[in-house]
Amino acid sequence: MSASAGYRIARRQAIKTLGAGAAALSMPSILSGAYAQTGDLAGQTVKIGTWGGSWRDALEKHIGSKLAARGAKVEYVIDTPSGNVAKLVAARGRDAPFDGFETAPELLPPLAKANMVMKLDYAKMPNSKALPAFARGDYHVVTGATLDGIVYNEAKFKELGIEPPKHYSELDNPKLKGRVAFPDIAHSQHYNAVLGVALEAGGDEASMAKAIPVINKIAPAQFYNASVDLGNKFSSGEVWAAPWHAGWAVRLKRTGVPVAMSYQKFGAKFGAMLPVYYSVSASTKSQAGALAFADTYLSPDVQFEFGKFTGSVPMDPAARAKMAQDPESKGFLMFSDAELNNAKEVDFSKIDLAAWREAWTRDIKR
Amino acid sequence: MAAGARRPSADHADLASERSRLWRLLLWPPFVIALALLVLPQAVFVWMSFHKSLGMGLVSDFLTIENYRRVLTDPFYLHAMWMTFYLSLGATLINLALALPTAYYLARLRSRWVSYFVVLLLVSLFVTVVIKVLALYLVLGKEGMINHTLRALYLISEPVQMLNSQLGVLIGLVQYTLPLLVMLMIGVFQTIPSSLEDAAEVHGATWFSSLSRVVLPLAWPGVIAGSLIVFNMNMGAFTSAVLLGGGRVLTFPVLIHRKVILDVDYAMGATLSTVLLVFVLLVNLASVLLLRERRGSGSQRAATVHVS
Amino acid sequence: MAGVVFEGVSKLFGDIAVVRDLNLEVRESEFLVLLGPSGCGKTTTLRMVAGFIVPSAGTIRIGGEDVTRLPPRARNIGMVFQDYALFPNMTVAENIGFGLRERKVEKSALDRRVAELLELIRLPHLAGRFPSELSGGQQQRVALARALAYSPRVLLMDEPLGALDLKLREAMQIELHRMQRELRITTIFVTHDQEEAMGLSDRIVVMADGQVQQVGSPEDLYTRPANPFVANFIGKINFLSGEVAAVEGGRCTVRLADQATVSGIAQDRCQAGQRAQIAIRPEALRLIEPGSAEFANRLPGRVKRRRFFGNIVHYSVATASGQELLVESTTGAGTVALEQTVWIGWQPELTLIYPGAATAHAAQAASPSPAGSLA
Ligand SMILES: Nc1ncnc2c1ncn2[C@@H]1O[C@H](COP(=O)(O)OP(=O)(O)O)[C@@H](O)[C@H]1O
Ligand SMILES: [Mg+2]
Repeated sequence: MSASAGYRIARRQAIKTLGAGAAALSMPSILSGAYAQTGDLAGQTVKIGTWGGSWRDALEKHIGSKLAARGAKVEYVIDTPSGNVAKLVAARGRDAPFDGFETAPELLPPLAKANMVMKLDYAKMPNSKALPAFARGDYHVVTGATLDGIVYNEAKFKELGIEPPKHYSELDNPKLKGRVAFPDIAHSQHYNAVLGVALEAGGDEASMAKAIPVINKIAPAQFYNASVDLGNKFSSGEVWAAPWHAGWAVRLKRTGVPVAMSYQKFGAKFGAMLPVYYSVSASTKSQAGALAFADTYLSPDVQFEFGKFTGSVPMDPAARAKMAQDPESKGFLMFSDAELNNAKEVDFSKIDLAAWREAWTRDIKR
Repeated sequence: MAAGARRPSADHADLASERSRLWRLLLWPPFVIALALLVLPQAVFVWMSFHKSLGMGLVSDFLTIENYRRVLTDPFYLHAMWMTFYLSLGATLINLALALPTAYYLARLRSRWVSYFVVLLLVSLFVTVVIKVLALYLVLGKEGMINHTLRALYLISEPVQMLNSQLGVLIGLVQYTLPLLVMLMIGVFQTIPSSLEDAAEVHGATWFSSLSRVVLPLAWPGVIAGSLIVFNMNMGAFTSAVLLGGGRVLTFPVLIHRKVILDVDYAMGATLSTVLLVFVLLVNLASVLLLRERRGSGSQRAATVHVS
Repeated sequence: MAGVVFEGVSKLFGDIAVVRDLNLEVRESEFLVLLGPSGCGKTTTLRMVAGFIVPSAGTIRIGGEDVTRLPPRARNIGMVFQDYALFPNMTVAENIGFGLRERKVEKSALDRRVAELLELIRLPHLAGRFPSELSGGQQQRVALARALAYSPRVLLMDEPLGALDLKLREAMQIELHRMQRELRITTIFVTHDQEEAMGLSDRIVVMADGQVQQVGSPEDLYTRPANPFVANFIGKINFLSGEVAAVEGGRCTVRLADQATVSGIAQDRCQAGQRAQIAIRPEALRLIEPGSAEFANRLPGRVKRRRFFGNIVHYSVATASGQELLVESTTGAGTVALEQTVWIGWQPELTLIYPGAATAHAAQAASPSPAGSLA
């Protein structure tokens, strides 16, 4: 009886997210907003490569609309970061598919080496002055960071008498069989999760393969590729726990899904951080527009609004301080400089990515 | 007189052939464009597959068959191909079992609703796979309708895992290509006049022998063509495998996607694509040859269903 | 061999009655033609005999046996379809042997019978061909042989000659006739072509709107049509309408709009003052001298058109009331110029009088064009 009532609610939620999620997943296409005819960016079309769904919507709401007011036409090319990188590579020697784009640490170095992204002109981004030094790379600026750990269904865990997971290995629990999802290799949260497992198993960036037997023991029901999809499965009750990032926990909680966030030890560090990189294509025709996009992105107001909406940590200190007071984000995110400095950041220079990809493809039991 | 009488018709014939020549000329540009669109990218891909990858979408200058040697001697890839094959074949057979009776029934139903239904099928073809897959989760997921119903009826205590597995991919493939196959089969059955079945029946045939001796032999070439189309689509299906396999079913198209997107290894991606393409072509060729051999001129006959 | 009996058979599709209360007996070994305009329910009737359609009411018997609810294959009947419906995937011989194979006839007997039928339809040299390699007439004959192969009780044919050209059709009519006489198989033949019906049959059933209008020999239908519809449907005929002025015995006199009177044989009970339709065949009308008393019925008119057909000539003559009558005269009877005023005369014995208001069909027939069935 109660099961069927729960099902009804779950289904309603699932259907609610279905439309938006499906649209976002299914349209790796160009979506554009309204734009003005005058302003300092008049006549410029700025294409931004980014994620779909609510992330894109938030970009448009807080940044795209402001650029439009300055006369620019902002369009979005939606895909996973690796998908967008593939587009950039495929367009090598021709016009870039987008001017500015968001990626992750493991994807950028080869692009920089191949001269496919340009050195950033920080003079054109006055808002970047307030950022911590690590956020200002030569080829990328960090606009925010997700905090990675395990998102779990709090109600279910209580019901089953399971403690909030302090270690990734705790996902190997008979009570959780068939209810755990793990980020697949194309997903942004993949490396943090794998490194967490590897560290627990006595490995590190150079010996990621130590994670494989543990993951095989956890035997996740699913290696997820899209957060929107995973969100639906948390809503419907299909999935109870997954290494993910806090932003989605915040967003799900907002829609009434009983999720909580728990961070794990990464060796001496606590929790993992995944910076969101913003870079500019080397062959852009709209450098001014692409930099204006970044500058707007980094303004304290946008940093706060965007961080609050997506559940990511702002880089701008003022925005971060303001968000620390926000009741909705409390308990899910970490905000202090000390906490952030203590969060693990994967050192991709130590990972043999090609070997890891092969190992992931061949050695994970499926 | 006789010559005079023939004259105008000769002129007419000249004019007609002139016009048909013009028509044929008009057909050339689309043909060339189609060729350019279809063959050129394939050709570029095949060319790429004979080169060593230098990463980041670049390939070496010299030719090599190393990529092929690696793919064809790697049990991992061979197993992936085998799995892709049996999932595609399985989905095709299941689809045939579902589509043949459905299409036959619809083709014989003399109702105006049938044409609406066909339009609906057509529309459903254009609904993105992602939406369909999410809908499948609502039905087949652990918290989906079927599991809930079974639990409510106390038939099971633990939900049955139907997705995130090869079974899930199989279901996804079935759902992906079923509408198309039903549509194709409706077309096939509609070209078989129902008077043939009436004739069979009135001359003493049972329903079964009317089907097996008249309808199916006539439908056969269409059934084979339709099945091959659906099989080929299944072999290339990517989204269903990713979403319903839950990342746990690495079919050939998924591996190709990963090689291109994650490894940015165009040469190897091209090699895998070419291997898949050749494999699919061989399967098609083999089935056509096999069936031609078995059926002799009968299938040729069926192609010219005579309606006076 | 067996006869076919319809007892109160009706068929409704939705609430539309396509066949209404059909009572009819097809005698053993008879060649019966079901004749009627397209859409009148002929095919429906035939398909009820075949078993494809279950009647909404009534009983159908074949050889005394109630077959109303029997499936087609259990009825042991043969049928020739309008599109022949030969199996394209089978040879001529396989097509002909189809019914025998379904009846599990042993191979050698089957082959013998097929050869026999190939002889009957005079196509033994085409046994190995496929239907698509045959001409229309040949396909037609194969369809017939297939239907006859297992010596069915009844042979049904639904407009089997419709797809053939005129010459072939005539040849096939003769052939059909020959085979039917030879085999003496009870046959129901459906057609909408009255000439075909007249040429083929001993007995014709005329249908309209799902109802039998008249059953009779070709002569009956032509000389004594039961109603204006049949009169109009079979051959050419002229219609006039008026009011019954006098009745004596089987005769009655009708006054036309222009006060002229015409007398003829009443085809039903007449009453003075009643509306009535007058039907006269074109060949019964004569162009006569003014004042000639040779014919009891006379009308003045003006010649509007003249068409020459060799042995006969057709005149369209407009009467005083504006109606045009078709007069068929033999060529030797002298010529009449256009716009000339003439008198038309004819015998009351050849005048059919149908009391009652004009039916839909009759109204159509009485339209200004002479003899509606000419068109
Ligand atoms: N299955 C059916 N459903 C509805 N109406 C039908 C069906 N079959 C025939 N009719 C209608 O019944 C009438 C008689 O049809 P039919 O028997 O084929 O006429 P005929 O053979 O004399 O031309 C037609 O008006 C036709 O439209
Ligand atoms: Mg008919």
